[in-house]
Amino acid sequence: MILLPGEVIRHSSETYNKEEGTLYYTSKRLAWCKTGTETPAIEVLHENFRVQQVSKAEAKKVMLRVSAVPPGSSPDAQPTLIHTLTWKMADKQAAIADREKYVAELSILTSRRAQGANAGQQAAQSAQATGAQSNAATPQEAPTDDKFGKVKIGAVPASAEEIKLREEVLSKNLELAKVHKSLVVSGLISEDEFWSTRKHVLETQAIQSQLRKGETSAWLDLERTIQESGNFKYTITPNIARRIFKEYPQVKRAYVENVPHKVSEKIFWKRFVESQFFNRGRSSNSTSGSRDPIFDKCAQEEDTVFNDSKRFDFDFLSKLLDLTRTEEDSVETGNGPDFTMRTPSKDSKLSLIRRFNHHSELVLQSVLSSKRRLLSASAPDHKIADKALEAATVLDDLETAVPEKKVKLNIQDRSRYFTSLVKDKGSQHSSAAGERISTDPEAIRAALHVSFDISRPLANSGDTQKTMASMSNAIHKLTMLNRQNRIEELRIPEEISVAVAECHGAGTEMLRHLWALLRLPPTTERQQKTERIVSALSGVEQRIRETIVKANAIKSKNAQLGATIEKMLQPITDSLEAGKAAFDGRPRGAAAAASYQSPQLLNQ
Amino acid sequence: MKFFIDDLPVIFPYDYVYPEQYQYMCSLKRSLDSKGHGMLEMPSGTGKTISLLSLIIAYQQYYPGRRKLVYCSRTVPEIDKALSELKRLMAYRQSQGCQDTDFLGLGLTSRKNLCVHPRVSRERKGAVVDAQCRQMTASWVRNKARSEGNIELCGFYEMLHTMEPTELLPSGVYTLEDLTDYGRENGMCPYYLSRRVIPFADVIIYSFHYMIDPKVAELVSKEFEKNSIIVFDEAHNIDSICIDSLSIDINERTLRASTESVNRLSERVDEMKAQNSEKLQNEYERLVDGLRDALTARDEDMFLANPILPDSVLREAVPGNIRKADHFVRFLKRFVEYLKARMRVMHVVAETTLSFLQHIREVTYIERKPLRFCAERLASLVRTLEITDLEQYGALARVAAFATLCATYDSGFMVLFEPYESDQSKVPNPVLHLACLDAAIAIKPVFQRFHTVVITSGTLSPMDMYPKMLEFMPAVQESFTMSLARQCFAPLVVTRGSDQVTISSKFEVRNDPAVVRNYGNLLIDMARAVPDGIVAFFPSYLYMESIVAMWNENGVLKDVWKHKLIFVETPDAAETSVALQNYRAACDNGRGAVLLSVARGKVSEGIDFDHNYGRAVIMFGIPYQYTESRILKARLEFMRETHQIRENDFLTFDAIRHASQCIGRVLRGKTDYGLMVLADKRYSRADKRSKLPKWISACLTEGNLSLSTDMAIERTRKFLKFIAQPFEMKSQLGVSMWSNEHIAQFTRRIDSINVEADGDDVSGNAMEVDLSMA
Repeated sequence: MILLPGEVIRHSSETYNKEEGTLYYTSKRLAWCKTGTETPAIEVLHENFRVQQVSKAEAKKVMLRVSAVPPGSSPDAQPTLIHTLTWKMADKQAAIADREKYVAELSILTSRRAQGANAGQQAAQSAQATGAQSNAATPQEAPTDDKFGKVKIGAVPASAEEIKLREEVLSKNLELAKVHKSLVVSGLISEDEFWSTRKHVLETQAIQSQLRKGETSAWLDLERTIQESGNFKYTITPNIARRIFKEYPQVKRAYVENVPHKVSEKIFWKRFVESQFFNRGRSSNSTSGSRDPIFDKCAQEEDTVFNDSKRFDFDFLSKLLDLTRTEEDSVETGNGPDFTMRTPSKDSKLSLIRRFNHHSELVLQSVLSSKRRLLSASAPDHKIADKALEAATVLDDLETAVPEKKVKLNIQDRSRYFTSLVKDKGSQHSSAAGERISTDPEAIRAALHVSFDISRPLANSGDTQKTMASMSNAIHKLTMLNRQNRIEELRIPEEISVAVAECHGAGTEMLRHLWALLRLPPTTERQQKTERIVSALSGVEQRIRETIVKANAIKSKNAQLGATIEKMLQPITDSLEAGKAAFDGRPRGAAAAASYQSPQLLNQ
Repeated sequence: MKFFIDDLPVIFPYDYVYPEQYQYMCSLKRSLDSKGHGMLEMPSGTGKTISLLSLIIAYQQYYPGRRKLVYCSRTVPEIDKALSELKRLMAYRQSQGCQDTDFLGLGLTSRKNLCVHPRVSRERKGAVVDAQCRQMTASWVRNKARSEGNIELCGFYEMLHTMEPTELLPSGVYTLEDLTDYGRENGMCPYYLSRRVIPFADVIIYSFHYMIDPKVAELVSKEFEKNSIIVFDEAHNIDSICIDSLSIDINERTLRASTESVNRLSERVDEMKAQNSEKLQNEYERLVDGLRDALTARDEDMFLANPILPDSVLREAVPGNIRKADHFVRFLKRFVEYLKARMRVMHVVAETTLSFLQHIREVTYIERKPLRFCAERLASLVRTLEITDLEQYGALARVAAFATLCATYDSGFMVLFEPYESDQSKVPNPVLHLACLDAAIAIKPVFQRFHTVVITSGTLSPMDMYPKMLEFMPAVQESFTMSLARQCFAPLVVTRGSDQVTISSKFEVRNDPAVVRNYGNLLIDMARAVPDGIVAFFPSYLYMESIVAMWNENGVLKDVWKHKLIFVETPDAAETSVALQNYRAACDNGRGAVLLSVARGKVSEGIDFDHNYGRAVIMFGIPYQYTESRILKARLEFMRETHQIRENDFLTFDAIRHASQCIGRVLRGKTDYGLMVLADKRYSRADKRSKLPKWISACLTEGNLSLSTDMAIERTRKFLKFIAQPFEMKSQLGVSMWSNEHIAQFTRRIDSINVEADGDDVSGNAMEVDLSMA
């Protein structure tokens, strides 16, 4: 089976689903492939999975039934896709045991879902109340997932939602997770302290989790399956019915009028797929399909709607795109277009083409309707028209560019981002970077020095990643210059460099908190916290020393390794010293409180 | 920026100028200086309009004479754009300290687009707006209202009569929108207002028809001075417009409506006779003096537009047998009956106008001369009868125009009768065509009357074709290429699918499943590789319909839907406009969309697909005209005989100009970029390539000349990856963009070359002098 990125197969089994195939359970989905194919015929992503059912232990066959919602549905949608899988193994007991593996995994999913749905439960219930069938008759937008919409971030103790948010952030941002692990899990600072300086991350996550996926643009095309007897079979689930109603309001009207008092639902759909109305959008022969009074009427209605020129809302139409203006600009003249440029009067595909336009419009409207209303309300028509004209005529590259205020792109996990670019850009990139790097060791160290200055905003100091990158580059370059043939010697063992990075990370994080506390007016609580942090600083120092010892002890061709690592860690050691010194030097207790109050007094 | 071309100071409303813009202006100035016609080709999207306007306005304001600029464009949105550029230019000139006193620039368009009357402007059909307007503005309606009251008049129109024409509109530049706003605010009718101020305007912008179509030109373009500067922008299609303006189709419906109109006319004549025959008698007397005098007061009462008639004819007395109203009505009836009889024939008839007239005379005894006066006589009668519901007379006017045209021109026309729509169809749908074959007939008066007529477009290649077809001699003829700091567009010729099957829209293979599938796969792959908008063009509507249906059936479109939304052009303008608007919305919001349209359709003319609205254009096949068309065949024969243009040359020229027009729509400015995919085997041949505009064919490298789909996609990916990087302006400066210093450098270089040449000349002259002395 073709795997998704980052996907791991956990189980696989030979099963039936009318045909032979293999069932896979992976870290992301449940999938079933027909024997000999690589693409899954059934695919249920974990988030779409809803309910599982198993056959009784005494039943003849070992079966598993999985219910799921279609991809892109809201979390509260009713399951509409149902897949039944039968185990192929001859030994029934073995098959049951094998099945149990899946059952266990899937039940974990269920419980996880139940947890996640806590907040959204209310919405889910109301959605369920309107239910599949009535919902089908009145197509409406799925309720927004506002699970995290009103989470108050930063409350102590943290609310359940916030904890959930934190988990999500950590699972998405590996780098942060590492820092979290080395700081919180190792007990250096508390969970709340860790997050107190990262509120914005949580807020972003809360907003992101509310983003709703737009409607799929896929064309509604009923797949027909050919049965053994040679007949066709269409499957119409309530979900598909809903989409049909949305695409063809005429069918909805017919449904409301005829089902169930005139024809049964089953007959209704049967006649639908047989009708000319349905088939004229499908085959190039528009007369295929049988005539049917219900759906002939639909076809007629559709044509009247499409032929009615008033259905277009010309107010929204940009004047620059209004082709009718040109048409009305001059008296009609000239010989008519030859027949290749006209719609043929019979056997025209016009209705199909109009359905395409209609469908695309529907998909767009689900996104645009609210925005358009805003736009038309805010500015008078004339101004919009002028702007559109200007946009359509000005050649902006001929004007001196006004430097735009740009927002820096914040990439959370750089390692992953750059992997895609590494292939072709990597080589030039690093060489270009290398040239810029100074090889003077002192200069390097100067750049690395993390200097915490109260007058400067904290955010600008101590970019660990960057520091590390430039440092290792510089060292690399430096040694390349000195000992060109002995690259092996230069290598810093993986574990050591990880340790160094961790030391830097931990140190920076601690200092961040320390300086933040030092800048605030002291209270007893803060006082205690500060002291705790300062004592934790020695823990970091301890780790630094350990790393250096380890570096010295390790067997490497690089004789200088110990010294190099020491040098690499020197800046953070210095910074820690500086922090400590500031802590020692600051006024304590009541005196401190007084000294902090005095500027306020002066201000008054 | 401000720079000099020779001694002329040009204000250009940008900080930099493209080199080709500068050169374009130089050539344009030469053409104006020489008082000769010009033909200039400049790549689309390089700011042709603004260069044109900047130079001509500078010229107009600097040199004595203040030559009026009449700028003709293709579509109303293009008129809008040109007006807005003019407005910006004038504002910029103001800011640079130019004293352009009493400058007036405005656009003309139909009532439908300008009307501000609260009730009438809500109508959607132009003809209805026209008719309702006339019902309130005709002179006899207004006379009647004065005596009787309780007749509705248009307050906006009445307002105009209270003021002197010179006071109507303050100086400035008015876009169409500005004009309606001004009308609304001041209670004046913008339509008639714009027509009244034509004599005072310095710049007038309107569509081709207003200049070329004799029916309209008579009304609005008659009074321009000889030294006016006429510009046809986007004029690559000008020959078709010329031909269209003199061609007329008549079908059974037209004739039925005509009969009704004739009956109604005769009723009205009888009525009027019963009431007071004085008016009819007056008309009769006036007609003895000649049509021109009879219609002197036709200003706004001019309803039924007429095809061109030489002035001398108009001064002649109207032939006696149609001078009397009831005689003329009977004459019309006979003519309509004759046409109806012709419609009953079940085989194709093609003949010259002469033999058509001959046949009329034999059957109905109608002579040529009264036929020639038919249209003008009808207009006069309508006036005399004080008819307001003119909508009802459209068909009859058409028949009258048909008669007049037939009787006026001996050559360059063909009368063609076709009983069936196409050879395959079995249901008769008879149409009588009057087809103009000679594009020069309509435009010749323009070339003769004005000193400088400039024809310009992004695609005029090969440039020798137009002077031949339109029978004029350009004084300046120039084609500019695009100076590029980076290759911002990539023409790719795809000749086969990934399976190596040749793709082509040649008639024999176009419906071949392999070709259809490969075209489909090309679309899928492009939809996958290209961000935002893709526009695909097909050679004809019929082909697009059938291929879309086939794609739908074989699942191609299902794959396209996965990547982008699909919009399709339909023959209905309103429907297509909405589709276009949605297409743009889809490009803007990131969904991305594919627009399927037709190379000769409305979308291909005048809609820009710049920036994200078109990152790629795919031209499926070569947009040849339907060669089995009898009218086209006749035209080809005519051109071969009179202009020595070979059939194939013209057909290819015509197809390639449409193709290059389609693919040229992707670019605007040099920071924009886009792919141009030509998907047909035949594009790789030299005869096709040589007819592409130079700026496109120059970029068509040998390696991109015969690609399979997979290769093309690979090139596409590479191109997009490269081109989407941020582009530094600095790298453009001096190469594809000039500041004042670069212009100075350039002129110094040119001067030095000229000086050398002059030096040679001088010595040559000296020699001559010496010799003569000896």
